[in-house]
Amino acid sequence: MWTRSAVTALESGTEDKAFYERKLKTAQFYMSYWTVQTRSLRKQVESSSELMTQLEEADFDL
Amino acid sequence: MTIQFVLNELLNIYQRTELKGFDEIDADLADAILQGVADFTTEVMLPLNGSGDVEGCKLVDGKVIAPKGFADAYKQYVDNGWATLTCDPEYGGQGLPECIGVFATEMKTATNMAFAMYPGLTHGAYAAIHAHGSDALKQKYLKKLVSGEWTGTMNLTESHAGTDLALLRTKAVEAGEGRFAISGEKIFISSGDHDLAENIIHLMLARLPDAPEGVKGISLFAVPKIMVNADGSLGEANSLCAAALEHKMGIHGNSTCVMNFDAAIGELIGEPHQGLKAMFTMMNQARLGVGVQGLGVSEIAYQNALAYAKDRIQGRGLSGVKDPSQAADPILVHGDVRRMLMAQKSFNEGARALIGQQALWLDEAERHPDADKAKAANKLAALFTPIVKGFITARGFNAIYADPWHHRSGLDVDSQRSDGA
Ligand SMILES: Cc1cc2nc3c(=O)[nH]c(=O)nc-3n(C[C@H](O)[C@H](O)[C@H](O)COP(=O)(O)OP(=O)(O)OC[C@H]3O[C@@H](n4cnc5c(N)ncnc54)[C@H](O)[C@@H]3O)c2cc1C
Repeated sequence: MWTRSAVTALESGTEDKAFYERKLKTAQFYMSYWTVQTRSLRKQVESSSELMTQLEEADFDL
Repeated sequence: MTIQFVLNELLNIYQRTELKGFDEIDADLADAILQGVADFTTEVMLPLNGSGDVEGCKLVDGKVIAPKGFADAYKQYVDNGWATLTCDPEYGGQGLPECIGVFATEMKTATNMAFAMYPGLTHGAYAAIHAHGSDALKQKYLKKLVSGEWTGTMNLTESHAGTDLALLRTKAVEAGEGRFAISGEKIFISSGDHDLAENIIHLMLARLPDAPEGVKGISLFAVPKIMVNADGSLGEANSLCAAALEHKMGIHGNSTCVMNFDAAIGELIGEPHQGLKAMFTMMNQARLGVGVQGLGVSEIAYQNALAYAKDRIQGRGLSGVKDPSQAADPILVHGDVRRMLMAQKSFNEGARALIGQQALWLDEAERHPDADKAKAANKLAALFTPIVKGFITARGFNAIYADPWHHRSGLDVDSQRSDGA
């Protein structure tokens, strides 16, 4: 969405080209930095769920 | 228990008798020491944590006063010999390994980090003088720093020189009899002035007049708050003072000072222009200490969060009612609360194991009879120092501010109702 809006603005000609180019670069960074985490976060939730349901109250003690 | 598990079963330290001095320690001795520290920290330091943070340090007529109770607690700390644990027996220390000392530091930090920083910085000053000072300097300062009767500081930062110490401008000029007059302003100096000890030894980075540019032109000096006479007695006040207290977001019980030095008299530690190298001895100690701070605060946050999760009742567990006698179940039954708690607990235990291993490498580097093995351990310690410091503090910070805040929610945001722990 974010990228598409910026691309559309750039393609349809805008007075503030630099602004939309900044938006594109930030979106690219978001995709390469934040979005890649979804895979490992999903794995984290899946692999720890069963263990979590097996925990007794005493397992939280030191 | 959990510390003994690391020392005994993970690191097997009681079997490492090839390391100098390790044959003199066993599980009973380590237990007695760690239990003593646990008692002191929970009974004396912990009760001052919240009040010290609320009250903070005060600058009155050019002198810094620590929060109520700190001076008395520090006297007990010194009288009980807690300052001496890992120091060299030649100067009054107990010669205990670092791998035991780090866990004493964990407990001190967990219970009262602001208080723990006074002896923490002192230990760094001791280490730098011990490693790089002349015999005369060692005789002059080490016994009192080891006992804790005097405290130490680390004066690196200036307003224009933080990470980049090549920019520092504090000047040192010869003042005769092997002494130097040092002038400049340092900022952010932890434990820079206080009323806990009769003298403070400032370890300072400064430039000599012929110094090359950059980090290769920095020398290290020992500058006492009160001059020390030849017979070890205290003389006149040196020309230095705390000009202001920094306004921090927390750790208010530790005096973080702006320090002014106006031709203050000091002595060179090590060789001219080699100060950064000497200071790094102190900084490596300090960096491991910072990692231990990350663990300590993460551990106390976990213990507080767990107590709260057992006490606070809200909603029912997905698998059915757990406590029918109450209107709701403790929040510990909820999967998300369990996840946050177990994530933090497992992180703390992993961090504790890594810190124990790091400290053992430092012990091996110093105490192994085989020079090659000592060197290899030193390399591993050097590799892991930034990891211990960076990772454990970053994750420890998350553990305190992200997860426990999340499950204490509104109560922690309302500081009037939170216990400030
Ligand atoms: C509570 C507290 C206690 C302190 N106690 C002491 C003390 O006892 N003695 C003492 O001398 N100092 C002390 N300091 C100061 C501390 O050492 C400095 O804050 C630190 O060196 C960073 O300097 P700075 O704050 O000027 O940040 P800057 O150096 O201005 O850095 C600003 C930002 O830029 C980043 N940065 C800078 N250079 C680089 C680089 N080359 N690569 C990547 N990132 C970089 C930094 O990580 C930081 O995020 C203390 C600070 C605090 C907060």
